[in-house]
Amino acid sequence: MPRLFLFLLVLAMTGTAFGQLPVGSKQLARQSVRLLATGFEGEMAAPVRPGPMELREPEASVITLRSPQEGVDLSYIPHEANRHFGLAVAEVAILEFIPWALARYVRTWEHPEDNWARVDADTWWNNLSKAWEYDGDNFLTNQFAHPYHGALFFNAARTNGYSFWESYPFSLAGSALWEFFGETFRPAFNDWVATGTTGAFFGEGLYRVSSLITDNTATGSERVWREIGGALVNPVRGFNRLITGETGKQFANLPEHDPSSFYPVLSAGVRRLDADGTNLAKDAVTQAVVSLDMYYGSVFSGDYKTPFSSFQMNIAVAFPNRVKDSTGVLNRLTVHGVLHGWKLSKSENASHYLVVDGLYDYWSNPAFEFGQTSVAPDWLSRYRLSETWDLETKIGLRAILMGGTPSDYYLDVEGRDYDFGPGVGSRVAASFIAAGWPVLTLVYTGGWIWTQSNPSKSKHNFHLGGVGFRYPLSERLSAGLTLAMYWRESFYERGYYESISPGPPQPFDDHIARKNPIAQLTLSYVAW
Amino acid sequence: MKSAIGNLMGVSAITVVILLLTAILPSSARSQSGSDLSSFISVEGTYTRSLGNLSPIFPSAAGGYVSYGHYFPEQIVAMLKVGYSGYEVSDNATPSGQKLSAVHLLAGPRYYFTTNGLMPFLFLNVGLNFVTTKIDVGYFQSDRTSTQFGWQVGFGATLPITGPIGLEVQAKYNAHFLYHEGSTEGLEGLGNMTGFEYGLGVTWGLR
Repeated sequence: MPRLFLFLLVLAMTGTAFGQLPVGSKQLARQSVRLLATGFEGEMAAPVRPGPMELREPEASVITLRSPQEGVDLSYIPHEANRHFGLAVAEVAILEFIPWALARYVRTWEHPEDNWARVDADTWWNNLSKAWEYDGDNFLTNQFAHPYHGALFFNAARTNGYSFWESYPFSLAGSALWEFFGETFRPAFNDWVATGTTGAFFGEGLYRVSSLITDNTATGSERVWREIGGALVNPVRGFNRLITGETGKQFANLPEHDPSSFYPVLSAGVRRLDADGTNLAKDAVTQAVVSLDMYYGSVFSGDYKTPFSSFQMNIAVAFPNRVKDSTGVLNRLTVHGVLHGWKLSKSENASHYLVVDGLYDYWSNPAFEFGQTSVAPDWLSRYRLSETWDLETKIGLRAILMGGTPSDYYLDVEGRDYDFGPGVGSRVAASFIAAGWPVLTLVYTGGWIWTQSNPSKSKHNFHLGGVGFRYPLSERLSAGLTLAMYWRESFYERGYYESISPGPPQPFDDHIARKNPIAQLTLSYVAW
Repeated sequence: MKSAIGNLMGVSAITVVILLLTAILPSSARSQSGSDLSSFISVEGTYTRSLGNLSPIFPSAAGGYVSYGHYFPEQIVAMLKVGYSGYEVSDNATPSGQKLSAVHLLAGPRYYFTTNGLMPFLFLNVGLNFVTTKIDVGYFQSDRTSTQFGWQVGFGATLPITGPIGLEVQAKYNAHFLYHEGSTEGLEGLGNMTGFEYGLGVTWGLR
């Protein structure tokens, strides 16, 4: 792995990512690899997961050695090969205790009565008696910080020998314990979903990326940097490797270290988006955007039954991106992974798979905010049109367990200016691929969110559609142009929202439609 | 009279049942176990003690579930439950005529610590409740049927009796949404149906 990539990956995972668009390359094409990404991930997730064209059966899930080396202890049983319940529970407890103790004893509170960590038996009983609410935290806290905390809970089990499904209850339970007993506030249902379920999706992505970075067979300074990089991406795993002595031991890699394919794409470019209208030329914001898009595994050529054996993780930062005080530079974070799949048919000219995906989306830019945790059945197809051209399609539904989208009329004292609720959605995507490059991609995704958080008398219909073009410049470098439109229609109950802080614009409108056109130009580099 | 029934079916009665079942355990554990079965059906009666601001009006509920469980390897069961809870109205509640009931449609995992002999388990169920309310607490009135989110977590044990038949006891903590508007300050504590639910049932194993 090039050290440059490793360095960039670590930076990206810690919030200073590079790159924006996934691309293919002539080199990858020669290897019969096609990246079905699109050129407009800047504003939407990749329409179809990329992957090699070889039609291979899934590989057996065994402990593997990429390149056996002298000094590697093949008889050593890795810590993660066996379950360690006590250590997993202890680490969940530590992960509960650290943020609680920081708030309780370290943080300086201007008004001590505001300290939410001053819990006791009375607050516990109050929370058990009154139970759920939807909280008022800002978008970054609810849609990023909570999933990250959940990812740590999840990895307390995952890196102690538990599978994805076995680790999932740890993030659910860890979150429930925090919500009921770690804060004076009543437990927030949106937090439980974001930490428990979104955290599992995010956590499995981090687990597998850290598996890629660490290499148990490496030695010397390469090993040191790999251990540091893996620990930054997955601190819980880093801790476990440290206390078990595995940071300095040579032994076989786990299967997650060697997916059927892996393509990291670094991108940079400029974007122009209209935050409050449709005049892209005159009334718009220009942003510099860098991103890292990682494509791990492939449904078409690898395992499609093991959770997240195939997934994509997209991270983007943009400058300037401060729409309001609570908004950081994090522009986009998406983790889309296969939970389970079924092969419908496969031939030389066409392959069809039905998969159920787990989706985590975080979008925050001057034009719109959108967050979701979804479970999505998708029908994936790949057609060979000619010797040169292929077509990949995705048709799917979305069960939105918890979605977040802006409210036009509400601003909570804690910073929430968006609504929460479940919903349904769909996505249709098609990508025409020539010589390994997704030359033309068309995507539409949309859905409904029914507001459950206070104030709840609203519903939102959102859409995101666009077209992406990509042109290869060299073996690994390409240029992409994306034209997209995000639009939202929100419906509010008349006679109710007029009294909601901060008050409606004049005159009140029970049906608000907002359109945000987006244009983006990027250069992308396939870094692996 | 209602209060007397409530007390009779309350915590103390459930505790006695659990103690009795535990006492007869050694002679009752039979060959029926989770490892032998692919699925099971259970019928369960429940009694709920309410918590929170609703408890003065609706102090308890009685109901039951019909459940289907499918075993996965290594002690994990996927559960699907359909149930009903009818809440008792306090004699002191005013005005009269207030009602609260819910039809439950829940699903979730159950983890058995062992699948031989007495089989203790933990579980989490989530899903939907179809809630009928007629509530008047002065500052808030509601008369409607709505669909709300349901959540319960708890523990229990299955005791094999003979052949495919077993007994099951459960204790649950319920935090079912009653009004999602309950997050507003004025409704604090009315937003959820919270309570401790105790269940006693019969299971029928399917191979």
